[in-house]
Amino acid sequence: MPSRAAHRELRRQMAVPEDGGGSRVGSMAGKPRGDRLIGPLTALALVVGMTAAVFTLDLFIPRGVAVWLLYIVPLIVASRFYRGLYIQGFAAVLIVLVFLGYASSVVGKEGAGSFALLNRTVGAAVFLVCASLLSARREAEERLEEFNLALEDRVQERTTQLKKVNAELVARMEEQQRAERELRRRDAQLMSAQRMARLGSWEWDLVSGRISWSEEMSRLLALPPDEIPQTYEEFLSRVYADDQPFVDQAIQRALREHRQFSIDHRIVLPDGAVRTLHGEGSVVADAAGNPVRLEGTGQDITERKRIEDALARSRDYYVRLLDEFPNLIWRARPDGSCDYFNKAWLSFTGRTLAQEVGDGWALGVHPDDREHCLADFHAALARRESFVLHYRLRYHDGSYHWIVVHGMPIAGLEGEDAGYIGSCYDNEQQRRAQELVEEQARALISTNADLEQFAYVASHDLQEPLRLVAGFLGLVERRYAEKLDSDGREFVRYAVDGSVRLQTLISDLLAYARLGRMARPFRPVDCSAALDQALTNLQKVLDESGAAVHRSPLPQVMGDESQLVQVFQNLVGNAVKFRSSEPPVVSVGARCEPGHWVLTVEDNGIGIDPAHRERIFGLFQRLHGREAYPGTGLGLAICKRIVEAHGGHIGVEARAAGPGSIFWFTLPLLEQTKEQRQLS
Amino acid sequence: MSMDPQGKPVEILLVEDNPGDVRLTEEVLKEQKVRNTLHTVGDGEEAMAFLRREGKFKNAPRPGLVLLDLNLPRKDGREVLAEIKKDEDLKSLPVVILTTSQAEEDVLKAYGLHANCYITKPVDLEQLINIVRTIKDFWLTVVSLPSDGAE
Repeated sequence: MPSRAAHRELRRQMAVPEDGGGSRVGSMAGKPRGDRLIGPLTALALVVGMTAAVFTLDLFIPRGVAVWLLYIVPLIVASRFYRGLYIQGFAAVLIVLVFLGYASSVVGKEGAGSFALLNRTVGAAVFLVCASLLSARREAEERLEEFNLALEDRVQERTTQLKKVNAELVARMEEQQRAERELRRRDAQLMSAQRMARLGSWEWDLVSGRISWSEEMSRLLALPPDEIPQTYEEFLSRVYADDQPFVDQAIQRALREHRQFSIDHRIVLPDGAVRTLHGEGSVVADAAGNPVRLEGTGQDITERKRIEDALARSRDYYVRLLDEFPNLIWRARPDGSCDYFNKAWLSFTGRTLAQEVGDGWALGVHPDDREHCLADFHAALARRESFVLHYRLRYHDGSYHWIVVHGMPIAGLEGEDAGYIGSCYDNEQQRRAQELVEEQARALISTNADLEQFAYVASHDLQEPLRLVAGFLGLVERRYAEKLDSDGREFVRYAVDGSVRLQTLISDLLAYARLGRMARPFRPVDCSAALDQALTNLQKVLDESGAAVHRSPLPQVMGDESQLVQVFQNLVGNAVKFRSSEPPVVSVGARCEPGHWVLTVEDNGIGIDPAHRERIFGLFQRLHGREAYPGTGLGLAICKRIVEAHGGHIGVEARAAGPGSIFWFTLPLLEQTKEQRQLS
Repeated sequence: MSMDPQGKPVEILLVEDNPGDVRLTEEVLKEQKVRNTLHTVGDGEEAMAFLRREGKFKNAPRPGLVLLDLNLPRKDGREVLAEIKKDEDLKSLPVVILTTSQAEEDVLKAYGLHANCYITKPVDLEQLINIVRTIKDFWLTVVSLPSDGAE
């Protein structure tokens, strides 16, 4: 209590509202709070002042009947601040003061003494009554206040307790909510996991015989909730008919032996679609060891199954493809021992796979080739390089065929060395064909050379006797002409002519044959210079015929100058020789076409019947009698051979305007220069 | 003028295996009225023996001109030409190749062996006569031949 009293005192003195202005149950309701604002010292001063004032007044009114009443005011005021005994004490002080006033009034004054004494005695009594009343009231007030404070404290305490309980409750509620949320989240996760994995779960209560399915499981079965199989039999009826026996067998066995099961089986959806499920389950037993429940999962593995099947099929397909491949195919392990040969290989060698695997195949290699074949094979293996080998392999008929083997290292799925794979093809036919071609080419080259040699020697040796014939005939003509008659002279003349013609023929043949013999490397040749030379060689003919030769700039080409001179000479010579009645006009020109030059020799001569345009380039082809146009029929053949040796073509066409021909021949472009383009 | 500066007949060595050709050459030289002494041998070995005055040719004169056919028995004209041009005593001797061969390779080879002239024997008599005239004018008249040191 002392602490509470002190507390109260403090509150009062400090005039600080306790409890932050909170409600004070039963505290002096209606009491103006302003009295509190008067501090105890002020109140004391007020009381003392009022008492002194009343006492002073009392001294001046000695017989005053009711002056003492004024003392009641300070008494009441004092009672506001001081407890019972103080009030009584103060009342006693007042009584003393009243009688001091009396004493002062009776000294020297007669007659009024008894009245004044009575008056003041009544006053003293009133003081005492007032004091006890005020004290009692003050006591009651204080008790009330104490009670209030105690009540307040209890309320406070209970409030604190309540708050604590409330906080605990709130915390517990939050905890529960969180737990619920977590649970919901996990539920959702589980469901989404099941949905994603297309994996559902189920539980078969063996006691009630009822099966419960997870949401995903019913989705997998594509059944509305009310059609979901409730019993094992109902479930089994959903299983694909062919799979029912082994599904049942697996589950019964699991039940019997209390073991897990894991099976893949198909189910039929209500729409008739067939899906593949992977089911797993295990038996839950009670304490006594009796199975009470079977629980497990079902997963839709249709896609996986489909992919696996497709993969397996494609693997089978490619293995078969290799096996049926028309080339010989083998595979070797990283150590070089062969572990696979396809059908083509086995039918080639006529041996079995068992005979060929390992190094067995090497027995079929021709003894002469075996050593280098194996050495090369193992050397390539050691370096893990691709290789190409040529060797003879024994064919099933016992003969040896040349084969070409290509081998290359292969990597396994993880990139590891998985050995070698190789293919071979039977090169025998090709090799034989090639040998035949080479042989024929050699024979042809030899024959050609012989022919050229023959033509050369023949024409050369033919000239010797011819020269003698011509020479001595000439001498006869020179020295004995006058001794012969006219017939004799004519005969000799014919003989001389014949021998001269034969000589020309032989020399042309010789030139033709020599083209093949004299293959000199091509050099850049200025066609203008070649034409110059040709025209010089033809000077006599040109002068005699009065021919006009027009020429435009000609290109540089790669070639043999003397041969090109020959071409120009023959073509221009022909142009003049086969002239019409008009004086011959010959134009030599060139134009550039993609990839080659076209050189032309145009004349205004007799022209050529289109029917003969091909023929005239053949050997000994003549279109006219020797009398009209002499010649051996070799000139154009020589031109053709030269042009073709230069990689070009030769031909003839009719002139667009008037009679005459245009002989053209093509020559490959030298590295094309600006000048040449301008020239063209 | 068919005489050398000393007025002696020109000694010509004709190396030719074909008697017809020999005769024809003789006749044509005759047509040219060349005063000459024509010595004829039938193959390359004899030609060399003649030039070196060996064996039966011990007393042979040194010719002022050799007319050499290319295709000869035993030792052909190309070898003869090569030997002449390798021989210090003989290499100044003018050699005219007279042949039926028009083969360019023969021509080039002959000049490569320092033949002094290469002439393809023409079939036509007139041409032959012209050629021999040219030879005569050039080799026997215009060109001052080294004189025979032995005589």
